[in-house]
Amino acid sequence: MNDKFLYQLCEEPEPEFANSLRQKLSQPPYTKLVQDAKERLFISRYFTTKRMVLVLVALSLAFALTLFVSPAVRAAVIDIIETIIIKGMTVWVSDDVSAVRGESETYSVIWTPVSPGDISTNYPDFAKLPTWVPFGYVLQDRAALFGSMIQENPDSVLFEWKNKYGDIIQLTVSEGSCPNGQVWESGERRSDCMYGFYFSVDSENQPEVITIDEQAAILFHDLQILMDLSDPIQQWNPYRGKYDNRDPEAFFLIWESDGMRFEIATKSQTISKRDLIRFAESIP
Amino acid sequence: MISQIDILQAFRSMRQPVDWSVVYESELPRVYNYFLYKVCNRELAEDLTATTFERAWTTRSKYNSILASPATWLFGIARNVLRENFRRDKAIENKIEPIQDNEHLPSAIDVEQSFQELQDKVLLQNLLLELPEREHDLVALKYGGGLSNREIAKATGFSESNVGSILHRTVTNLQRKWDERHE
Repeated sequence: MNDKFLYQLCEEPEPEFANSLRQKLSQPPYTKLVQDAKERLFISRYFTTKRMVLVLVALSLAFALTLFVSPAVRAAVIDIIETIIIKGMTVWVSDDVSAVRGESETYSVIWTPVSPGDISTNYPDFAKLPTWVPFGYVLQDRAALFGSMIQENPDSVLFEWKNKYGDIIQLTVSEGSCPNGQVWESGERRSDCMYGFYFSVDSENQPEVITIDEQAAILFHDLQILMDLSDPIQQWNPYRGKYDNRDPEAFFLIWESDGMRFEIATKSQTISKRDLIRFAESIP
Repeated sequence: MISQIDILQAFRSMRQPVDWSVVYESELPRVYNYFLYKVCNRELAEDLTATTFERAWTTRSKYNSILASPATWLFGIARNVLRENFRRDKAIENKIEPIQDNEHLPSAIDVEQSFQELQDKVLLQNLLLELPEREHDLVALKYGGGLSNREIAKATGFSESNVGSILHRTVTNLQRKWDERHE
């Protein structure tokens, strides 16, 4: 493979540009932050403790050899530096920038394949289908029902839309309304949660807080949380979900309304934020 | 997956403070060229490079060498900066124009050769701008940023073999088009 022709655009940055940027970076605020950080590093036992915890976690991972650096592990050492609260929605922001980005994992739960029609007939409370979908997307015949088999009602359902290019939109409608965990900021446990849902996000790439029908919603860029519904139908079906916070084509939107939790996950090159909001706002 | 060797190496590097002036000198041309390959416009590439380094310098106290090399970390920021700028201002796409080498006008002696070089550059820019986003990004990281397939895999989240096969396919296609347009 002859690829020499591909190098011909390479060039050195203009010295004037390189020098002026270097000069800029050598002045406050760019120097001050590092100095502060160094001081903190040496005087704060907290930082030492944090580093030791990270080392221990990393060693554990090395011995386990089979583990990814999962959000769950991260949650154990996460350092919460900021909390955003708008209209009751809470996002915990961590300063662990590099730690959060660039990780992915898959996991399994049990789900039951059903059709959207079945959900409308048998579980109308969960049949929250949008009245608008982006052009070209078709509601798939296979939806998913989640919940204990001994429960009469599910606690969550999932609908899926696809277009001819394989782009995906998934809408999950769940009972319970604690999208950011079962604990209030004060540390008090919430009583209105079926189950919790935690996100740790980094301070550099904070999610947006937007509104959907005047409800606060959290929009994550580059975060893929998709379920694979293509497995053959069996009595018990593994649910193979995928979590990946590196996918630039993915969005994840979550909000609560009337005691229900809504999650929209997309993987598409064409869906915009505006589409996503329009899709969400058309849910009755 | 993290291997024991990776972690031991990371621990060793953790003990040594990062010399950010060295990082600046070594990574500035790579980040700049990555953007140049992405946007094919010097002014825009400089702006995006400056934004990347300013953001990196602001947050470098949080840089964790156990998780990524400074280069991988910087390119992660660079890709975010690019995406954010494209999202914030879709019109930026329309601002992209191939580089015009006006400031490097050829002398009378080598007019023909310089003209051919300029034509080649413009052709390559056009071929790059025609690529799908994913392929364009990988080519820019490889040939502009000078990253190895492994580094690209770390920065993008693709597997190393996936990076290799996508790049191979893309470069083969580019080469074919390059040859066709030269005939």
